[in-house]
Amino acid sequence: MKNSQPKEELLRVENLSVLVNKKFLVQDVSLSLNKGEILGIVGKNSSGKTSLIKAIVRALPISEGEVYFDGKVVYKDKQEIDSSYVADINTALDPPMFYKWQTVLENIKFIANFKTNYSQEEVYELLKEFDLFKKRHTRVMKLTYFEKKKMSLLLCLISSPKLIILDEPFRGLDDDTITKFKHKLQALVAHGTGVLIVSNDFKNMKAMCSNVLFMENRQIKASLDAKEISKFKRLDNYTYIRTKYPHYAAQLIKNCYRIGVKIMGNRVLLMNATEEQVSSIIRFLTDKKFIIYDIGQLTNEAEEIFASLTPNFREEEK
Amino acid sequence: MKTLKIAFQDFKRLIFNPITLISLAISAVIFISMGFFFKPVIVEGVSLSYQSAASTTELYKNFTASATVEDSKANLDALISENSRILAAHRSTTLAEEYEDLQVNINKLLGRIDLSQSSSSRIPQSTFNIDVNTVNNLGQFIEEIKNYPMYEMNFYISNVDFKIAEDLYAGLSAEFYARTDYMQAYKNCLKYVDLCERFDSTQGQTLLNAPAMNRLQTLYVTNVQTKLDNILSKINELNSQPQSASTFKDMTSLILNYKYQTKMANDGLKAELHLIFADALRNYGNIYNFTKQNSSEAENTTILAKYVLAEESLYYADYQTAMSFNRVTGKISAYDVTYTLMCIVGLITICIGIYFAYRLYGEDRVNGKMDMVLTQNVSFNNVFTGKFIAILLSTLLLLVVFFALFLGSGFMMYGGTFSNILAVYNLSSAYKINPIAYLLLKLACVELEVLFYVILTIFLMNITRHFKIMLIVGYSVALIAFLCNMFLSGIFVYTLLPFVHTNLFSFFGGATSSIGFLNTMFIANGNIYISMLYYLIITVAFYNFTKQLFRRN
Repeated sequence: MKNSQPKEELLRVENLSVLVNKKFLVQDVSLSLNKGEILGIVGKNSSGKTSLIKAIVRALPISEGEVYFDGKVVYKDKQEIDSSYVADINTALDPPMFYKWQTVLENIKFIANFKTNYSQEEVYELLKEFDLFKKRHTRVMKLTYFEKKKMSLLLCLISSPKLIILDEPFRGLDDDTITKFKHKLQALVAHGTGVLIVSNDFKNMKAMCSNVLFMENRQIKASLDAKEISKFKRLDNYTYIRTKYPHYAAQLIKNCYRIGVKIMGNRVLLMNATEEQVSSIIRFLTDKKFIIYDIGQLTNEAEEIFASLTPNFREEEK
Repeated sequence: MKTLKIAFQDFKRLIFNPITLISLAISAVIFISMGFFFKPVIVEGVSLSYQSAASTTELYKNFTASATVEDSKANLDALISENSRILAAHRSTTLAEEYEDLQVNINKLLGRIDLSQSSSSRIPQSTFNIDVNTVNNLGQFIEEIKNYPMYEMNFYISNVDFKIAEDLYAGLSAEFYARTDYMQAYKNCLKYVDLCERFDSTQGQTLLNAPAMNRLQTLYVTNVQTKLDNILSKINELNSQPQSASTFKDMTSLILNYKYQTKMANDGLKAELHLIFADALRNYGNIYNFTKQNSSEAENTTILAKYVLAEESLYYADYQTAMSFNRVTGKISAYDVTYTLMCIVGLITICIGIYFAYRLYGEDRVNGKMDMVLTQNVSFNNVFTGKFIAILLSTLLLLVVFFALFLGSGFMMYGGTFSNILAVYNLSSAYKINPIAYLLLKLACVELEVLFYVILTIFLMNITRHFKIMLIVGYSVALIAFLCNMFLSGIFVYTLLPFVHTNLFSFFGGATSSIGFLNTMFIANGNIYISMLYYLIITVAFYNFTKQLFRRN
C-alpha cells in the first residue's frame, strides 16, 4: 500500500463516512492533499464540512472508509491502525472555544502541552505578532470573538505541524490579520506543510488554495483545480441580473450591447460592463417586459460558486 | 499522562467555578455560625419526655382531679424490703463456676433463673409497661411503681428466648434509641464490669466472671435502692406540702426518670447477658434458639461490647449526655444536628457532582469545548476518563473540605479534644473500627455515591440533547432515592438498587438498615464492605456502559 501512495501525498481519505445515531454526518467522501499544498472545502452550512475534519482528527468516530497520512495507513477496515498521526495535525475549529475562566496563556499552554515540540519562545513570538502578548494574562471571557479567533489561529502555527486544518479561518478577522496569517501559512506551506481549509468564504480561499472541493448533503459534489479556480478569480467584478428568462435576456444583451455574458443559474453575468451600460441594460430589459428579480455584484459566496458549477454554466464557458 | 492533563485542567475549572465557590462559602458560613452560636444544653439524667409528652397534660389533669392521695410510704418501705430480699436471694445463686460443657452451662444458668423466679412470688411474669394514660390517680400510679423494680430483676426469665438482640436492633428508630439506652445503661451500671471470661474452645467451656457478676448485682441493687430512697423522700415531701402543680411535675419527672433509667439498666443487662451467650455460643450457631446468631455476629457483638466497656475513659462516655436525642429538653440535640449536617453534606456533594457531570459532559459538548480537546492529540478515552477523574477529584476535595468544616463546627460546639469531635461524629455506628478509619470509610461511601450519580447524569446526557432537562432528571432521581431511603425500608427488591447502598441517609430508615439487604448501616455488622464492593462493581459496569454509549453518540 505504501508503494501505491504518491510520493508527496500527505493526506488521503477514501470513501470516508461518519454515521452517528443512524444519520450520516459525512458520506462517502474522498480527498487527497499533497505536502506543501492548500486544499479548500467549500459548502453551505450543515453540508458536513466540519464533521469531515473532525473525523480526520478522530474527534468523530469513522464508520466507513480509509485514511492515509504521510504515506501510512492510519485507519482502515473500521480499525484505527495508528493514532499518533494526530500529533502532527494542528486544528482550529470555529467558533474558537477556550476555557473562559482561564487566561490566554493558560489556555494556550494547555493545548500546546499536547504538542510534541513546542517552545515557550515560539508561543510568545506568535502572541506578539498577533497583538495578544499584552493580553496573555487576561481571562478569555474578557476577549472579543476576534481575539479568540486569533488565539485559535495562533495555536495552529506552533510546533511546525505536518498538516493544518482550519475551520472558517477568516470569519471575523480584519484584513490585516488575514494577511499576516496568510503570510505565516504560506511560509509553513513552503516548508512542506499541508493545509486543509473548510469555509464558505470562497473569496479568500480561491486566492490561497490549489484545489477546492464543494460539499453538499454530506458529500463531495464537485472539485476545482488550480486552473479552474483561476477562472473564478476573473469573475470578481461581474454584475449579475437575476431574471426569469436568463438565456433569452443574455442573447438580447449580447446582440445589442456587444459585451460578454455568462449564465449562472437564473442569473445573467455581465462581463466588464460599465455602470452606464448596466443602467441602460436594466432599462432595456424592463422595456422588453422582462421580470427582473434582483441585480448585484457577484461575490463568489459558496452558494453562488456551487450554482455556477451547474452544467449550464460550464457549457457557456466552453 | 494526557488523561491526567485533561483531568487537571477540568479539575481547575470545576473548583474555580462560581457555583462551587459559592457552595463552599455558604457551607462554611453555615457550619461556622452553627458552631459559634449553637451550644448544646447538656442536661444530667434522662427523662421520658419523648414518651410522655403527649399525655403529660392528661396525667396532670387526672392527678389534680384526684380527691385523696394515698400515703405510699408504707408501700414503698415494703417494696424496698421485699426487693432487697429478692436481690439477695438472686445474688446468692449467681456463683462463679466452670461448667463442664456448653449445654450444662446453659441449663445451670436457667436453673438459677428458675430459682430466682421461685424465690420471688411477687415478680410479675409479663413485661412491665406503665401506660401513663391509664393512671387515674397517684395511688394507682404508686401501685404500678411497686412492681417496677421487680420487673428489672425479672428480665432473666422474660427474655430467656434470647431475642434480645432482635428487640434491641429492630427497626431503625428503635435501633437509634436502643443504642442510647445501651450506652447509657453501661454508663450507669456496667462500665466497670467484664462479665465473661474467655471461652475455652478446646473443651467447649465458658467461664463467667463471678466477682464481676457479683459487683454488677451490688451496683444494681445500690442503684435501685438509691432511686427508691429518692422517690420515697420526694413523696414524703409531697405529703408534707400542699398539692401543687410544680411538685407534682417534679415527682412525675422523677418517677419517669427512674423508670427510664432502670429500663436502660435493664436493657444493658439484657445486652450483657446476650453477650455472655454470644461469646459462649460463637461456635455453636444453632444451639438454644441462637438460630439467628452466627459466629461472625457473635464476634461483632462481643467486640462491640468490649469496645464500649473496655475503658472507662472511652470517648463515648464524654458525649453520652450531650447526645441526649431530644429526650431531655425537647430541643434538637447536638448529635441530631451533627448527624443531620453530615447527611446534608452528602446531599450537597451529590448535587454538585451532578452539576459537574452536566458541565463537563453536557455543556462542553454543546459549546464545543469537548471538540476543541478532541481535535488535539488525545483519544476519546483520554477525554472521557480525564473528565471523570476531574469530577472524582473535585467532589472528593469538596467532601474533605465539607467534613473539615463539619468537624470544625463540632469542635466549636463542644470544645474538647479532636477525639471527642470524632466521637460525636462517630457515635452511633462505629463500634468496631477506629474512628478515623470510620471517617475515611464514610468519605469513601459518599464519594462512591456521588460517582454513581455522576455516571447516571452522564448516561442521561446520552438520552437526549436537552441537557438541562436531563440535569433536572438527575436531581429528581437523587431526590427520589433520598425519599425512598426514608420510606421503603426493608423492601427486598428496593434494597437491590445500587444507590441504596453506602448512602448516608440510612439514619432515616433506609433499606440498608439492619432489616434491609446487606445491612450496611452497622459497621459492627461487618457488611459495609460487601455493600461497597457491590456498589463499586455496579458503578464500574455502569461507567463502561455509559462510556461506550457516549462514544457512539
